[in-house]
Amino acid sequence: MGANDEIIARAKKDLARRRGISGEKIVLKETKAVSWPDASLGCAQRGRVYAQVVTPGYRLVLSDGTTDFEYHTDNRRKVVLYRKSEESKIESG
Amino acid sequence: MKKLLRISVILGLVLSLILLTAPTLAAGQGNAQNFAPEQILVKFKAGTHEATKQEIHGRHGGSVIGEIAQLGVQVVKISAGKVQEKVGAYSNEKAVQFAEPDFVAEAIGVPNDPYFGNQWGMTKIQAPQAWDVTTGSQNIKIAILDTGVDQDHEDLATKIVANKNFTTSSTVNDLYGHGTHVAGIAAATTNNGIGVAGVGYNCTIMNGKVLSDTGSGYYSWIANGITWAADSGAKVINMSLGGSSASSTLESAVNYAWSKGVVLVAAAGNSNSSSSLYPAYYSNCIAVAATNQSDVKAYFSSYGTWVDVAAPGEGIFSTLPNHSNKIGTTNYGSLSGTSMATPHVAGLAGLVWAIAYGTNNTSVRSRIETTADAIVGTGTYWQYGRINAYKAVAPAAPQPPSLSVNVLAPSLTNQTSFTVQATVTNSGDVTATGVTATIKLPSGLSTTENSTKPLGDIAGKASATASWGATAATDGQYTITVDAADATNTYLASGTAMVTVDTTPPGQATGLKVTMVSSSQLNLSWNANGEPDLNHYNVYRSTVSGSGYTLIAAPKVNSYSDTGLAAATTYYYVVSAVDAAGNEGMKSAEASGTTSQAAVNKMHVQSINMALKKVGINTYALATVTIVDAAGTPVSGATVSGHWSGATSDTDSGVTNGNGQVTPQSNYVKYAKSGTTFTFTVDKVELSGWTYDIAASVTSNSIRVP
Repeated sequence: MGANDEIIARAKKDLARRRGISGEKIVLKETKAVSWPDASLGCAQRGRVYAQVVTPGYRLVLSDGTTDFEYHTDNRRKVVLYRKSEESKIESG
Repeated sequence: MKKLLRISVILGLVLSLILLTAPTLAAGQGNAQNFAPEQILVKFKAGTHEATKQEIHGRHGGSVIGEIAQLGVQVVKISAGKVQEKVGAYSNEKAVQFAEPDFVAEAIGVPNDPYFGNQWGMTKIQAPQAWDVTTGSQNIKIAILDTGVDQDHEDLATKIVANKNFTTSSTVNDLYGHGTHVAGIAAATTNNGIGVAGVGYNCTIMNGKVLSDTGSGYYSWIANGITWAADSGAKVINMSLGGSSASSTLESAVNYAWSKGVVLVAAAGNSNSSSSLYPAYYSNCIAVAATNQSDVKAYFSSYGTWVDVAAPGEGIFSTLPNHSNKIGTTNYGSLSGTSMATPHVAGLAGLVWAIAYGTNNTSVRSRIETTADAIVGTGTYWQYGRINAYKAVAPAAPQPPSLSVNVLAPSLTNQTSFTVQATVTNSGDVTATGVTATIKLPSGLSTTENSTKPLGDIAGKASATASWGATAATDGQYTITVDAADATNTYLASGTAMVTVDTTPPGQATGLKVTMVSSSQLNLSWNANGEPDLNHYNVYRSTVSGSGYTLIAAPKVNSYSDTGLAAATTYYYVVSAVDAAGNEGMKSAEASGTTSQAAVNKMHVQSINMALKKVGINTYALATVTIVDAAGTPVSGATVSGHWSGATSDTDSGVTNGNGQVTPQSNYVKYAKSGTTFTFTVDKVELSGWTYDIAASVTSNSIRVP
């Protein structure tokens, strides 16, 4: 199931800002519906606690033409750039 | 066994249809009168003959006044106020399937909250049945440490008794939606015709905002929230949150709250793994896994040996903020997670606090855990099972009589007659009727009393005592047994005591010798006695020979030092041996000893040092007299008397100080000429217990005016 347009647009906008390029150059390569195990959307940071509620959302893969970037979202407005280094050992979902 | 409806019966009322459809009800703990006082419900096992039923009713004084034919349940009239006792008595009949009080039905089991039908978890944990026992109390505060709680939600607003924000958010309100959902599960306003029911029913909510408006928080925020809740009177802390890192600060906060008597409940996590999550992992938190409607582990729930209980957590319907929030739904909706399972447990903890089991946090936690249903996964996914609210708050069934006998008799005696006392205790709740105690004496022991004595009815947790006089024909060791039984010989008990009768004294003490040690001490010794159970010796003393002996000591060994005696005095002694039973052997032949003369203390004048003193036209002399003992040690307290001669002729006396010195002073002489002589002569030196050794003394000294 695909993510809604607003979510995708927010992710693209975030990546374009980070890369310093136009949003039009960001391409959506993949979208997948996911149930994140908690409010971290699978991006839990050490030293923080999260509401332990199963949170429906998406895993998006965006590309700036050279590199792929993974975004985690809920199904409303929240988008988080997934960084492997931030991943909790435990809350990996 | 599925529980039957228990409902008060007015004779003639038709009950059967109601009985088949109404929910299970139970006794409200602490309710003064929650069952009929003169009737109980009894069901006999299938195939029990009518004559047997009548015989049992006759024995227990019951008469059948009604019957629920479809269920085979009889309504039995009994004596007023004997409900517990008779339920216990009937329950212990082999032919009786069950007996129970005829409880008053108070139709509050299912609340009127319109969305209650969506709350499958409430039914699964038997919350409605629990609410017939207790609905909690507004004094029991459940702290929801979460993303905040909607401040004006129709089903929560009146429940919030405290708000505190530990985050950087600008509001205690719930902009995320999670905390409001959790709070509703734990303690939404219940039976108010609005929204949903909360497990904690009448319990109230403390809103501790420790998660930001994005659903996350720092450990310091959580720790602050925990200590705030504990210090603000929370009885329960709900933490539908967790992090993967252990934290000493967080653990300290958990232990602090636990030490203040709070029950802490935390989510086990949604990783579908056994990975630990904090604070749930800490031993002073109840770690909660999630189950689904099929009563098995929810697909997402974390699990493991560190997880304590499970509770409904998948598709849980509850309150959501009435304003825009991150969940995306307003007012009410469903969410899944161990976040949702946790407040089921927290709400139940609130209920348990309200009943007799709620004496402290240990007992509340234990009650929740030990009454959990052992569904599939218990022992592997979680330790205790899926919580059952009804079982956690249900009053304990009265325990049938349980007798024990404690026999008291002297373990060792030198008397042939003694008393045997038996205390029969009923440690059950139900009265044991017509109890008797029967003594069984072995050969060699006898009693003139009836061996069986009636003790009457012994109430639960009570005791009764019987006693007998027993006589031994010969010395020996005897085992005495006392049996107890109720009127029907259903409850039996036995106790024993061992008595040793020993009336034979030890042999005569011999070989007594007395040795003089000093003017105040005599030493005694005698031959060791060969009595196998010798306990001690008695030492007697007199100042006249052959009579007037007084017991002065009871040494364990065959010697004794008699001290503190008068000098130069003769004392007369006899000794005897005494065994463990108290039998005293024949006294020894008399022996005597005389203390020596008291030592004489001697003192003498060691020196008389002279000095002159002139005051104006007057001159006088001073004589410092030093008194010492034979060893040269100063003697204080001695009274020295003497006289002056030469220039004056006066007398003087004084008492020596700590240096053994006293300084008499002569009278004045006006215009004393050169060559005038003052002489002091010691006449007497006196001190009690001392003699003045004049031969060793300096008795006089003089001084001349230059």
